Amino acid sequence: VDPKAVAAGLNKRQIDENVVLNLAATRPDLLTGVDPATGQPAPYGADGVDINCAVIGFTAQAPTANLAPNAPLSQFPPR
Amino acid sequence: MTRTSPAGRSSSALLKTPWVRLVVISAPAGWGKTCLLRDWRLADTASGTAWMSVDTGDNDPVRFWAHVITGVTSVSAGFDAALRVLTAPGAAGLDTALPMLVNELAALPVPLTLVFDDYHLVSNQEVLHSVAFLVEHLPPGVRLALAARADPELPLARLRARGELLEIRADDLRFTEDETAALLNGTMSLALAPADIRALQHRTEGWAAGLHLADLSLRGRPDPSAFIRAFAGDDRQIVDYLLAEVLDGLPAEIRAFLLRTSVLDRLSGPLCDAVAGGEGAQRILEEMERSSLFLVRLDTRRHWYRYHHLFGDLLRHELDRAEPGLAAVLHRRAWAWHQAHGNLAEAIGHAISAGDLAEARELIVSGWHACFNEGLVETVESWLDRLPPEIVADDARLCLVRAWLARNLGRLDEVERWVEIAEAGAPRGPMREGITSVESAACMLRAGYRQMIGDLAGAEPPSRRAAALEASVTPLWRAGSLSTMTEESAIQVDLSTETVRLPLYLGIAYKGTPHQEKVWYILLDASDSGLAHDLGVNFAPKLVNIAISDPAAVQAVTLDSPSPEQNRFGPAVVNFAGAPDFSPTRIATPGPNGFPLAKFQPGSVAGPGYSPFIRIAGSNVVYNAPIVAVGDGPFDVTHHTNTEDRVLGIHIASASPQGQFLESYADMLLVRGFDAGQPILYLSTDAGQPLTAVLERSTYVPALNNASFNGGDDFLGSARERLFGFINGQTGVNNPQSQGFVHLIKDGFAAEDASAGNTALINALRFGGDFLQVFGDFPTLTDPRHADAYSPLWDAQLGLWTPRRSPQG
Repeated sequence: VDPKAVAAGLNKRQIDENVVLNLAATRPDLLTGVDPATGQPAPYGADGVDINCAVIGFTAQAPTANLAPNAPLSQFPPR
Repeated sequence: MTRTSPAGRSSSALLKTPWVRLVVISAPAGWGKTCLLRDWRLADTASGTAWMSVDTGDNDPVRFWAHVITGVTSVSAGFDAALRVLTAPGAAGLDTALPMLVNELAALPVPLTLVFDDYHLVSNQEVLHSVAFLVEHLPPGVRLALAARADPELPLARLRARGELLEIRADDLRFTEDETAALLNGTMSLALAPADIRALQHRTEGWAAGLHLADLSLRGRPDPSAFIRAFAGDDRQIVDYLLAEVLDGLPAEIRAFLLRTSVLDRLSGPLCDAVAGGEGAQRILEEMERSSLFLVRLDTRRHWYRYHHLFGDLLRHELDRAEPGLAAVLHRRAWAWHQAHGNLAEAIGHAISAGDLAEARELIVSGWHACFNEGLVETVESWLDRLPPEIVADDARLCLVRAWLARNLGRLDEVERWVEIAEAGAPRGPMREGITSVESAACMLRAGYRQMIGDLAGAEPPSRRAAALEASVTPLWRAGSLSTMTEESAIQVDLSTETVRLPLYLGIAYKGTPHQEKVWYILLDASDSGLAHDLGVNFAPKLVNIAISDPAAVQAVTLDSPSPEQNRFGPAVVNFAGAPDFSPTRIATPGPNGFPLAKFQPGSVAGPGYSPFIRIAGSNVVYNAPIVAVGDGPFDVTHHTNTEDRVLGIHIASASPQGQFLESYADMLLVRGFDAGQPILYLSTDAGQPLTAVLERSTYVPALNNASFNGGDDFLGSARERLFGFINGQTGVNNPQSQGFVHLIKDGFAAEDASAGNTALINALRFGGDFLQVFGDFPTLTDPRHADAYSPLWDAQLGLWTPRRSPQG
């Protein structure tokens, strides 16, 4: 892969779960996981980092549906 | 294609030119720009072409890019992820869709030329800026060709300097004398004398439209030399003169057809039959295309055409002169045909042009919502703009449409004014889009507006009124009318101070030991839906799984059983097994690049037996009940030596008078993030790792590290839901693309303690300096499988944007 996200200014703000997962599944040249211990690229997925964050509300419209369907073979559990 | 024409000549030049990012064809009307693009497309077999003929309706960004993507799809199937994002209800718009489009273009298997013809018709700034973005980020193998009457608003000088721009201008498109001879004597077989050729080329200055009109005028004329000597003047005069000659020379049937169909933006056989009142329009259109009568084909099936803009303008002018008043009749026929065929936008346009304003109003009322939900907000606004203002102001339904548009387009100062006008007007409802009444819609708008400006207290009454009015009807509008809070027990949210005020409850930790102390906790989530609803907290069913892999992830607590004398009304005191130690000093020293931190230490650490997740002995329900303060006060809400790092204020109620209940509360610093494209608020209270606790300003709770289970998300036995963070997103306080760890440290005052008096920190977080992480399932998601998959225990998936490749590769 040709790493280029930062160089091309494509490290833009993400706002939707599926869009992120689809990027991780289809564009390893743009987005990878990270090893929290070293800061180096690693396969995308859970990093062993967990936080307790209760949601409080929303400031524009209620989140109702993701912006994109999930790409085939992106990380979605079976339904 | 012939090379003995300017278009052929320029097309050949284009084929020989090395691949450049941008091709600009800039010339006034009638110079053959479209002709050149068409010739080039036919000759260029090495790349696919996605063609877009721009019209004024494309000044809606969503419509513009939907057309572009549809064009690309004709070259490469399955190219539609960006389109789905672009047109999704409530979508975040171009900021999300355009990078996706760039990514999809980069993955195309064949080189591609994007063609935007008549680009000068674009005036919408958002469209112009987004095209500039596309030009800047076009991947190798994709180029953009623009044809316009003036230079586009693009950084042409920079592209020119980089050798990434090819320009073709009027001079390049001018017919030479030889080309004029080849056109008129070769292609058109007019057998003109060299002197006549020279005179024509001189009079028209090689202008393609003039020569074509001259050709049409000269056909069958016995003395062409006399005719050529007879005309002179500027472009417009030549066109007027020649057009009159062309029209006069046509059979009456064709002449009438041209004038009557000139009111149409696009033409098809059936539409032209309906408007012109005849039969056989398809045959006429195909004949006109063959005879080069200024007709442009819009699709490969010969279904849709349009007149050359210059020709169309002149035909409409001639129609008004020759048959005054007929245009309105023709527009009326056009809107009826378009309405019957489901083309709402064109129906509305023709109804307005016909002066049928009542019909136009009803068309807008019936169709605006579908368009609005597809993201075509500016298209809807353009319809209202074309109506006389009094037509809009006199109709409550249109006033509400104005209010929805103002809210969606960020013109919040207009929302309440339009709502007030609607409330005073008629009709009262029900609304075509399914809302029960104008009153209900007005309440929803007012609640949304109040909430958007941070006045959540002001949002509540209209929100509850709308919910009551919609109680017996569609779930869609009931959901839309509900409060903006998921944490309904919250007393208030104040976006000017970035705080949520939550009820505060008393507990005792380490009871009966030397370390016994008074603790104060908040209540945020429950694993039982009924109890969650009753308590006004989030329903998080997956929390029942939290202790599967580590019993310490949840602490068992007990309740006191007070006597009537001890507690006539109020919560029972909870006895916690453990509590946090808030005394450490939080340290977050930025590294050379912000992140990783050079030095860090959590400001709050779990004591023995502590977890924020509790189960009351004798019950299986798991609650999220983090302790946020200890002791009797005074509470340190500046350096947080006895409070959690996000506590910015605490109020302990005095003893309640008889028959009353006085509530204690804590003001907690919010965090901002996103879910399903929408901005959300949340409260971070605990983390399973020291570094995470530092960045989140929360309590380090080691027991959470083993909570069931890493990577689990929605799999069997998981208590977690996914969250997405980014290490190296963009930075900058005012950068709308900022996000992530480096951004928080550089722009969010991560090294400082949070307090109500640290307004620099508060304002930085208010205006974009926060983490801005992306959350997975959320309680308001429409699909209950996703809404119920919400859990406050988030399993982070951290992303690293790939950097620039090193010179060594």
